Amino acid sequence: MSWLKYAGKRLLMLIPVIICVTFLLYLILAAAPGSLARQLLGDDATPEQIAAKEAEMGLDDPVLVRYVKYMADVCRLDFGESWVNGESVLTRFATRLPNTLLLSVLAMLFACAVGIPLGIGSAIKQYSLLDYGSSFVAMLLFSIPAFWLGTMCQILFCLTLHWLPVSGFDNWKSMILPTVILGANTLATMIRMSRTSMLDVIRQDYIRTAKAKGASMRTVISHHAMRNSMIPIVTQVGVSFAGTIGGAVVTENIFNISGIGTMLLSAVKSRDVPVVLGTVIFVTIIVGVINLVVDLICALIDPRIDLAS
Amino acid sequence: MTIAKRRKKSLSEYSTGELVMYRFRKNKLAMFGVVLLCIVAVAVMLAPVLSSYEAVSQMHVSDRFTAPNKLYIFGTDEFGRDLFARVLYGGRISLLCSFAIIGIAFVVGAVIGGAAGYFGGKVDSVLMRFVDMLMAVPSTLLAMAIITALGNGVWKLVVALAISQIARFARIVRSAVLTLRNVEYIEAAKCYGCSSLRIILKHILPNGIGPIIVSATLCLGQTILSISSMGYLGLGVASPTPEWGTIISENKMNIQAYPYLGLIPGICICLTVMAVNFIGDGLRDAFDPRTKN
Amino acid sequence: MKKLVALLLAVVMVLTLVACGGGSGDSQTTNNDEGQTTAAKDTVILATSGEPYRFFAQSSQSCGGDDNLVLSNVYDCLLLLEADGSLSPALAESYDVSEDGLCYTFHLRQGVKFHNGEEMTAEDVKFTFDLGAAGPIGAALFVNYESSEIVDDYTINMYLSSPYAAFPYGVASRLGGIACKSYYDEVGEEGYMKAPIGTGPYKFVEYVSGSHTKLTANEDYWRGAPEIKNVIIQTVADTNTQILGLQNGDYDVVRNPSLDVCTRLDGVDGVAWNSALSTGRIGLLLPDWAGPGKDLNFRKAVQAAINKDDVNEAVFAGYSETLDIDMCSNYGGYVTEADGVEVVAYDPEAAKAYLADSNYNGEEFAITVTSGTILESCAKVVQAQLMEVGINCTIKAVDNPTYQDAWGTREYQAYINDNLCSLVDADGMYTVHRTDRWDAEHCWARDAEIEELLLAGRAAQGDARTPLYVEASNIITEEAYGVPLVNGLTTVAYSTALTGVEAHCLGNYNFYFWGWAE
Repeated sequence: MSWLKYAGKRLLMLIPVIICVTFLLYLILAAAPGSLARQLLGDDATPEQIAAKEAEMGLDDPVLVRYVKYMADVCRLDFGESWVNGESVLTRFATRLPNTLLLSVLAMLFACAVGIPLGIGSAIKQYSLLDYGSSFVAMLLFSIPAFWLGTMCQILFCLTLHWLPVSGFDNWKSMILPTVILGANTLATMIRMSRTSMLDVIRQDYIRTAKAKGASMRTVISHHAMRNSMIPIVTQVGVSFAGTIGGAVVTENIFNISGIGTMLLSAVKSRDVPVVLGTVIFVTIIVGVINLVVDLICALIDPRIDLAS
Repeated sequence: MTIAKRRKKSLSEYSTGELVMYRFRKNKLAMFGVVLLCIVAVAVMLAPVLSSYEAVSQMHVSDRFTAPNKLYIFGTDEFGRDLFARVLYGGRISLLCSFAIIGIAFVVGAVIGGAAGYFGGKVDSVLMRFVDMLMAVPSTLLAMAIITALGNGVWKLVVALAISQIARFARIVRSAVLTLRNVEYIEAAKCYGCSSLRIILKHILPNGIGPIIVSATLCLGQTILSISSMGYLGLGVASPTPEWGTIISENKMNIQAYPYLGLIPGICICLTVMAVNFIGDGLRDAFDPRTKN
Repeated sequence: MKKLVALLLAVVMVLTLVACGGGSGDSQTTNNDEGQTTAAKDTVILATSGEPYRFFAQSSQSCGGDDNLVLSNVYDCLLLLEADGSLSPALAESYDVSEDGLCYTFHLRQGVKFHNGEEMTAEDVKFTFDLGAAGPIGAALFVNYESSEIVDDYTINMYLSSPYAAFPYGVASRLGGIACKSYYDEVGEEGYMKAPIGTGPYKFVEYVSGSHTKLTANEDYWRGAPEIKNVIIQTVADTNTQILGLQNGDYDVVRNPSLDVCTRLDGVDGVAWNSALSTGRIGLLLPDWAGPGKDLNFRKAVQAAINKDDVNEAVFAGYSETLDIDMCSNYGGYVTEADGVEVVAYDPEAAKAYLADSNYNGEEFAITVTSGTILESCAKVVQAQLMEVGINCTIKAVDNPTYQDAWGTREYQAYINDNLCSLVDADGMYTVHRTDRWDAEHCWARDAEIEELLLAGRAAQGDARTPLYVEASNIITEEAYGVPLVNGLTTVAYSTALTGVEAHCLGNYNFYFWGWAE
């Protein structure tokens, strides 16, 4: 039961976070130049129309009043409507979320499935070709901007070789490139993280003891080292996931995937404040929940972790 | 005396700083990174000498899509603009902005983290709640939300990215201060009646600077990537101003036919970030040899 | 050890397979679709950065150019606006105008069916116009519309409150798509918006926010069944991705790519592009209330110092036309030099002389534009030309909200804008010089006079309009209130597998006229 209580507490702690973040954004927004209503109505709007639109958008109230109103609506799960097309922010988020989640999960799976074995392999065979090779790949992926890698892959695999479609996310062929591009950075992290973590564990006394007692290398790794080296890796998965959702903005835009990233970018460009605020709130919650799950999994793997404290 | 001079110093005789420098200098990758970064930095700083600001936007209609040659070292783009000049001036923006971002984030983060760590108690919990709040939102998202409010522009981008990095520095500085707060020489300084500010600036920061520098360096690489990604997406640095990300974005359609247009700016970003990362890794190993595997 | 590596590799493979398998499992249907399209292509995919989302023009939510991608294909108007800006009969076989210009009689085509099988009658037309005129864009598009009178099922009289020569353009505008009254009564505004029907060549299938809108051919269309059976309007925000996708065959058509993108496509196989003069006038406004422009001689110097051909060449690679007056050549009621319009020629010497006569003494003269747009490119050319005659010209490139704000508050020394006009008529001039939107103290000194002429131009019919617009233009030229620069362009890039694709002056897309190349 203690984990339930812990989970509840962690989720409750998200509330002040959201209140503060939205408040901060509201304050900055109030100081922003230009009339949003005029921007929406275009050149031909008369001053009366602009004033009416501002009233409709609630922009003529003081910031604090607007903020309190907004938060009251949010409590009723009403995140407002897009200023650009009047669509409910909640509906829009719900229709866009599946693609982004699928993309992020695929990218994480790819990064873990390739990165963890590579990292562990290079820790076990330190200073081998595998070790140097994977360290080099990790270093490279860490330094290559995703948008550049994505563009180059599009040109190579789509335009030149005609193997894959340039855009879309509705069949396995179109999912390959976005997954790899989004996963690239996490892959680098995973290789380094699992290598370091495994090396740490291998040098511990209990591993030496196990080896001394004549256990085979395979038994030592699979029975003793693996479990203990997993804890930092699992934590890293949680941290990386937040980064992956951020990275999805670039990937989704390169490959034109209808997800949170494309939605956020167009909202930022058109200053569609309700959509941006809503997205920040939702993503914060999602990332918070994922981090919570990761912590719970860590506690499951490692009995030394006490959730109560 | 001569004998003493010639005698090799024993390890304990080196100061911490000397040891760090010694270990850092022995790290070949790190030194490679330093050399590489120096080359990039010098080239970028000498941009007005190597090229000129007019060349950035000057269009040579007869020389469109010239492959790299003696006149145009990096070739020209679709408007016949000199890619070399654009990459150099683009690098200026990328590098200056990323240093500015790290600088701002560090100063603000250090103030928050330093105060939280040094004073502890209520100050600590209030400030750290604020930091937790910033940490809870993915940094790309936070930066984009701030840009929504501020609008486009180089300085607005710097502010947005800096805010999204503050939390990281606040945490590192705080933990550095926490580990040092109760050591004896700080106690001694307190007894002498040193002011809190003086203690933090003169005694705590210099001694806890290691992890901060390491983190700042690694963060620098990621910031260069962030700036160019934002530029690529059309946020922050707008298109006519050269920036490594916008250069790639504006040439995207021609890369297939003229690969140098994509390769050169891409490799520039890559090498710079890699150099910074090599230095960061080298510094980390130098400050804390135990992490070196 | 080797076994361990083998095991890990196996895990990797399994996971990858699971990942891919999971992915393909989600999209069985799409795969099937793809199989069909490769067998016999019947779907056109159009990539657009602006997304259509309002599918009922007469609703209280208004509608815009993006929505027209769907509207102009699902709905038919009484008249059709052709790509070059001319009008041709559509749902109305013909129309008459009363002598006083107050009554338009439309003779409707018989036997035209809505997508739900009901016949279109005068009642639906009356309903559409009454609802549209009361809506948010009614005043702008159904200018002066007052009421409709049903003569019989196929004849309708429309009455205007005062004459308005450009009214037929409003009839052919996006607001004039005829909607079905009985269907509206049944489903209401919201229902109509979600599942729109019209008499158009395409039926609405689905709209997925942020992704696409699907249309399918109306086999019973009154002009005959469309050749293109399915159209997908795909939202693609990144313009680079649009073009890469066009080259790769992901998309068949890219909407309104920039002109430098188009010229780059010239050497590419399987891709073509096309441009048309838009209804936008790109021009430099010179206020007489701020900056050096307060001085008439200074404004005249600017007027004479600008070489419009250079602007056209630099911004539109010469594909557009230069403007003599604040009017595009495709406007109804367009007036030319032959009608008596005064044209100021490019003459840097005259400009220098004007400048010498003015009390200008080298202070900064800033042109406000939006950064990163063609307006900024125009400003750069103008800047270079003004500097040549000795004007210390700078460019104030700002983001869109700031730009709009400057327009509203009139705080600029010079302003380059692209004045679009939904009604392809000389009346477009009115938007800049109407006085009812300004505080009197801030408008150009002779605006009242200009407005009077433009209002008279609205009311007059046929050739009687010419002298009014000539006079209004001449006042603007004489006082140098602005320098019209170039006509805007609309463009379209498309796969050569398609025929009949052409750029339209208003950026409309009429898929009905497209076909497959043999």
